[in-house]
Amino acid sequence: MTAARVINCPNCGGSIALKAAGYSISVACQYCGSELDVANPDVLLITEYHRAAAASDLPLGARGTVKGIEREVVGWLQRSDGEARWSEYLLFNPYAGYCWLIHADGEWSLGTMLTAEPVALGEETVEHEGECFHREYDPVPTRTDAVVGEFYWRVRAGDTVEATVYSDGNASLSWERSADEVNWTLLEPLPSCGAVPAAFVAGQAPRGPSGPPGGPPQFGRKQGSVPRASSVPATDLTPVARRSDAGDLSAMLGMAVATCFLIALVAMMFGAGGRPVSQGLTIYTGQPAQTATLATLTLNRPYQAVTVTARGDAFVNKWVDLDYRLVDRRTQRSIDAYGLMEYYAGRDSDGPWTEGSHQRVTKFAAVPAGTYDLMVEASAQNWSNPSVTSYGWGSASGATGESESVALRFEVKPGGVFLGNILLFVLLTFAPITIWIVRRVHAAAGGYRS
Amino acid sequence: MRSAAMPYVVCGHCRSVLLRDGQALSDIGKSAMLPFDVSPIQLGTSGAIDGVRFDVVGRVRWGWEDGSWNEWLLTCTDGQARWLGEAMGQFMLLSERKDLVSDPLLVGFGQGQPIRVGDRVAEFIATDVKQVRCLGGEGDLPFPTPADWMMTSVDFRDSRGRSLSVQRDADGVSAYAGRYVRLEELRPHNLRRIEGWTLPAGLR
Amino acid sequence: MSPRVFLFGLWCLLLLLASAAANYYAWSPFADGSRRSGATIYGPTHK
Repeated sequence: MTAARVINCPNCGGSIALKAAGYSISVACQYCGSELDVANPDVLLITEYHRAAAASDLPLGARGTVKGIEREVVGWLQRSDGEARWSEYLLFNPYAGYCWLIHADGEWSLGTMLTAEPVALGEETVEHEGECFHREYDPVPTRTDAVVGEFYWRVRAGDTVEATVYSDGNASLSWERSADEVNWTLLEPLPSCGAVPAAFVAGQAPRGPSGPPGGPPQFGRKQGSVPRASSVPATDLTPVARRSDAGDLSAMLGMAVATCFLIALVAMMFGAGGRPVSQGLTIYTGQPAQTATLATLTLNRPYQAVTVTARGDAFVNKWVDLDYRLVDRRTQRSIDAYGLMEYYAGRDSDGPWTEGSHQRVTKFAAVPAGTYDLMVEASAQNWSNPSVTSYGWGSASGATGESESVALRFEVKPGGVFLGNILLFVLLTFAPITIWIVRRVHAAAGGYRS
Repeated sequence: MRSAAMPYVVCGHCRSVLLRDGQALSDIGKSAMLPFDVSPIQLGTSGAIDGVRFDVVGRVRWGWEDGSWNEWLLTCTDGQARWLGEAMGQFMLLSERKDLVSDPLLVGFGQGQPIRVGDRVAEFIATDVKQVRCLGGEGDLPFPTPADWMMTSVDFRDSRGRSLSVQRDADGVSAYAGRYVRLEELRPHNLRRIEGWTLPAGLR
Repeated sequence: MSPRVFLFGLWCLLLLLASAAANYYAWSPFADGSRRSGATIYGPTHK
């Protein structure tokens, strides 16, 4: 039988073998980009171009096996919708018809035209073969920016359709409406990374306008007596179940919450300590620091925290410096910590205010096992502010220079939970999710909307 | 001569359209040369679907403003003729629905009234109205295929993906209902061998 | 499980181990370290 229908580009004279003769009605010349009408025996030039065909990942004529059937790349479209740009490859097999490979945002999908229109289940949901698909965004104008190859409809660079995507989490349905028809395409995810380009091998070198005439036209890329089956990679591309971003996100959030819970639980377990020891101390403002031994602690675990809670009486406009020394009886080495207790009150144009607290928790970290004396060097000072005294607040306070007593009560407890640690780990746990979401939002501006 | 039941036959060599009248054949004109295509169907392809066996005995190629398609005539073991429409690499099995021709819309259509997109016949909704032209034929056919044969063709769809095709020409209105079928559903034999391609496993 | 979920699981495990280690050594960057430095500023800061 005769082979492919061969036409010559009326613009550049390049020889183009129509792979889907009888189906193809428009061709974008692979040599000069001109758009040709091949619906009739006479090839008509629709738009004349003089530009090199844009480079695409899968060259025209490349063949690969998709879902068990060998298919040839016969057309390539580059499309965009204002937010994203992607490639669509039209694949043909005379026994199996057409399908699409869509390359967007690094991911490949297999597109199959639907023969039955999905059933609308409301404004933004459709049903197809028992699955519910939800609309991902409002229809947006989608433009065909570049086109190479042959197509079974009239294609022109600059064509614009309204398009949106409905998704069920794994597969999705593409909806496109042009002036006179609505098209539905099922999009199934294919293995990512390089699997798709690797499964397609380049076909016969195209015979350009300046190239050799190439002898009798041949369908496909038959070359000499080389059995073509040997040049087709054995890889069969089949759709994979790609867990949706939403599915991954919920899985990751679940793991993050569980991790945070465990981290908090571990911190509580390690933070549990022995019985608290209580000790009182009264100091006077303006006096030199007073030193006292608050407790003697025997610590058994290799390392632990020690928590000291100081509570003051109801003083106002004073601060208390608390210098703690945790001294190892055996080595006389000390671990120092500092706590500041302060409480101020006053009145201004907004009314009365207070600041500070009568309680101060001080925590020692990484205290090795041993017997320790905990000593405190405490001093109190009056805060003298003319504006405060001028309001008559606390006539007996620092303005008089009198020494006032501050009664302190200390509670010393081995162990302790560092809330800051827990918070840090929680932030670190969620950091990858946050980065991922931010990047995805960012990628939506430059990638495919899916 | 594959089907003696069909009144017309296009000679595969000289493209003459012959009218069969008893044992006599009369040459009534020339059919256009069919343009090359890569259809996997050919005269002599056989298969089975819906519990009947069929043979492909003829083909008519139709063209319209934005493309063209094949309609393959199937003679079936149940005595009915069916058409296998082939467009955009997809197949549609069509059988005549004489009962629908009496539908008021189609009666009016036969009297020259237009059908507009959205009009209904039974459960079908009109989706496309176009002028089509016969590009030629081959094999045994129930009608001659003159190259100037123009028709108005209306496509209807229902919600289950079934379709209805209504044609009007000088002789009246006919209606064919159909559904999409995959090539392997037809369990085809004697498919056309297309150079450079191997038959997929399911079709061997 | 997709690769990124697996990686995230590894990350969670790493953090869990790190937190266990931090707890074992009672380590924290948020401990009230050392003695008072001279630079402490006293008094209310609300205005």
